[in-house]
Amino acid sequence: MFARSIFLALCVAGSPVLAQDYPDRSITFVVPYPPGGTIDRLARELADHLAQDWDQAVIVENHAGGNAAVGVQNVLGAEPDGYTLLIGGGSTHSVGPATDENLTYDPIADFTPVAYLGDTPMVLTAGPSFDAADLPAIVALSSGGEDLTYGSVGNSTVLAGELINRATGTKLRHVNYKQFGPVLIDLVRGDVDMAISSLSIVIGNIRQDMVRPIAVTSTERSPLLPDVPAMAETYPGFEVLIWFALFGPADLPEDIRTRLHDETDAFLNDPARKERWAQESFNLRPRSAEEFTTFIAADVAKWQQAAEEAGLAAK
Amino acid sequence: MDVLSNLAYGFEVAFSIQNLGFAFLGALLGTLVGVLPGIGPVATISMLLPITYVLSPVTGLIMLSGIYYGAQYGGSTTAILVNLPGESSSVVTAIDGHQMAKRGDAGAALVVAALGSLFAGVVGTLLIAVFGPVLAEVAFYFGAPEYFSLVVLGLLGSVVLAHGSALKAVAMILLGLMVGTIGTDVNSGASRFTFGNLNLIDGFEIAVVAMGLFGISELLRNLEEPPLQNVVTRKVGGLWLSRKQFREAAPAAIRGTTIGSILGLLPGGGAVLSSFASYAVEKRVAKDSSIFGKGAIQGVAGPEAANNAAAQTSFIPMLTLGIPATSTMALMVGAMTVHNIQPGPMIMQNQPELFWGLIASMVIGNLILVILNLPLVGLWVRLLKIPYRLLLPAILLFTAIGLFSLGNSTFDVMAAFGFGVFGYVIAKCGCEPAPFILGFILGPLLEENLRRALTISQGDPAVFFTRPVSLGLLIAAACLLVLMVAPAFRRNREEIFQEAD
Repeated sequence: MFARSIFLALCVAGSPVLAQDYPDRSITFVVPYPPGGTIDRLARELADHLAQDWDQAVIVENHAGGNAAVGVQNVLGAEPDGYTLLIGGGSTHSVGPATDENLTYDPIADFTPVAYLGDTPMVLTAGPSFDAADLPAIVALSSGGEDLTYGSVGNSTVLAGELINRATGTKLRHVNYKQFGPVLIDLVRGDVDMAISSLSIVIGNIRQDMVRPIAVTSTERSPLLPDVPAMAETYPGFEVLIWFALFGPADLPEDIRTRLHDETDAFLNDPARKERWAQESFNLRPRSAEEFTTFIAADVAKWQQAAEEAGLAAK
Repeated sequence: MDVLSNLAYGFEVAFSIQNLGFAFLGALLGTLVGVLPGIGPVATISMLLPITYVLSPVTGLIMLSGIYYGAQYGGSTTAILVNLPGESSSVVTAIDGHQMAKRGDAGAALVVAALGSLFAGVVGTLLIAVFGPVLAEVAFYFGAPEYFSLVVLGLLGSVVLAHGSALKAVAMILLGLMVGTIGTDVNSGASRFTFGNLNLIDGFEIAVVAMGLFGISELLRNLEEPPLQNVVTRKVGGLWLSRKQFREAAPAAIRGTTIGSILGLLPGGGAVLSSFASYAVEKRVAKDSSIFGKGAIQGVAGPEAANNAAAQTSFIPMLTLGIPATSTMALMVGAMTVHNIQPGPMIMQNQPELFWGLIASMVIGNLILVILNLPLVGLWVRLLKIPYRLLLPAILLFTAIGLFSLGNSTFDVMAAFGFGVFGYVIAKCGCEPAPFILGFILGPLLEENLRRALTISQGDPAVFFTRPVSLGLLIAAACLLVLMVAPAFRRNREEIFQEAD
């Protein structure tokens, strides 16, 4: 804490005008997703926190559409002054760009990574009438020529399904949905055998024994499901996370970035808040600026490769 | 009886000062966002979600659901008064509701919408209380093939929506289906007809199309020949229903409630279908179907009751199964998860306070809405007396604000004005916007479920005929088709057509 204060003090000394005055007017968070989802709620909570601490309005603007590409346009090329920020994540920076052939931006060069917010794993679930008990049984069924299907919503789950197929040698077939409710219905009916989704969206249905968790896609088991294996236990290195973070336009001044990063860290480190989000299976995870920058570069490369291998890459 | 004592307990919870206050607040906010075209309940609820963290779970949910069904009420107000449906659920209300207003019956239209909604809301709520867990099972009868067949039936039935030439109605439906294909293809992720425009990747918003086709094109037509509204509204005597109007509206509201209660149970689009379905049924059972589209009170009572009943019963799969039927319901699940409450079969045992308190609050909330809205009817009607040269720019301004607030996008505003011009042109050609918008709404549902059903069955179309529910719906659709082309029916239509001329 002490070291950080010194660091902050040095930054302030470095460019007194900017950091002392920032923020002197309202800040805008662009959320490239529709209102109401996990990340939208987290963004609003963070906005409230910053607004109270800095006594400046922090406005959350939802610009959903085009697999998050529409929202990104609102931050792309904005003045790098810390007043226009993006709540992005895999869909804007790694998974999305890897599969979007109309991409108009460079996820690394066009942005300043400000602060990592957190992540949730995906989970492979099975319906009640599906026989296979666990992952090895599914792999055996599939290699025996059985036609197995999984339902899911959105690009990133399709890519995750491809990754599972590649890792395990299965041939799970994808069935597309626009909303998760109908996936649940079809799982229970037995129209589809399995589903792939974020853990946070399905945790409640797992708890009520409507669907059966098979494996989570984080490297570690989820604390909410201690009995459910992680994919990585059988297939080392397997990791799929849905993550979100705060970004600024390229060339955001270092002191503003640091102020935003440190205030966000303080927000993420609140134990009560951490616990509350963990109950929804969303892990608030502070990362240092360096860690975060390294993480993004690795994640971009990883999904690019995955998309290429799965034949889903943008040309 | 068990249900009665449970309900009594629920009312005890709901009648606490705090819960009553938040039910009122929710209903009020809901009415406001409903009246303002554009801003929908989803956006409002997500903005207020953080506030509910600090409230007790039952209080928070009472407020959020108040916003949800309050918005269903408010939405019909602008649809009736200025032909501006802000939500897909009030599109149908605009058809006959606005004609009633033009005729000088705005008061009656607003009252019938409010009373129809109250009746449907209370019935829907009682259904949740008494049959919730049983009704929830209905959802499991509807997989992709059943949905596809239901939409086929709906599309065929929708020809009835038009009150002019059937051929033109079919043309409009097809045009609507085509515009509905704009956007990302669900299966391959490829962009269709977007011409590289990012704003088109998700297609047009229903509200954008509805507000343009109905509201803005109406304004354009009015510019051509300004309505003599001062004369018309001065004629308005009652702000209440005449005995005759009540007799016509009541059975329609009951039928609408039945239809809405069933369709609301279906996840992913049932609620949207309900008001269209009710309108089609009303037109079919009416002795004189030629009055539809010219201010038939049944055309307001039925659909309004249907969409409100559907709004209530869509709580059933969410509360008793943990399956959100709409995006608003998904938000409610989120609000419960925050408090570590799991909606599902056990909720009645584990959270009796929440379950019964919420249900009781819905009855109270629906009453609050009527008490809140009926006195406003006089005010709304008087609004129509404002000289048109002032009213028109004001409507246009609020429309633009509402459109912008949909997605913070100027593209939506311009697109809606484009649809306004389109609506003006098709009106000049003697075509109607309702079949177009029905095609536009049902087209994506049709495609999505057709392709999903075929993906699951590995391309075997037999799946539509081997599943009983799907087969039944297709047979019903076939019967409807036969009826339509049967000579007797055709003659009937022509008679209607002549009367219209």
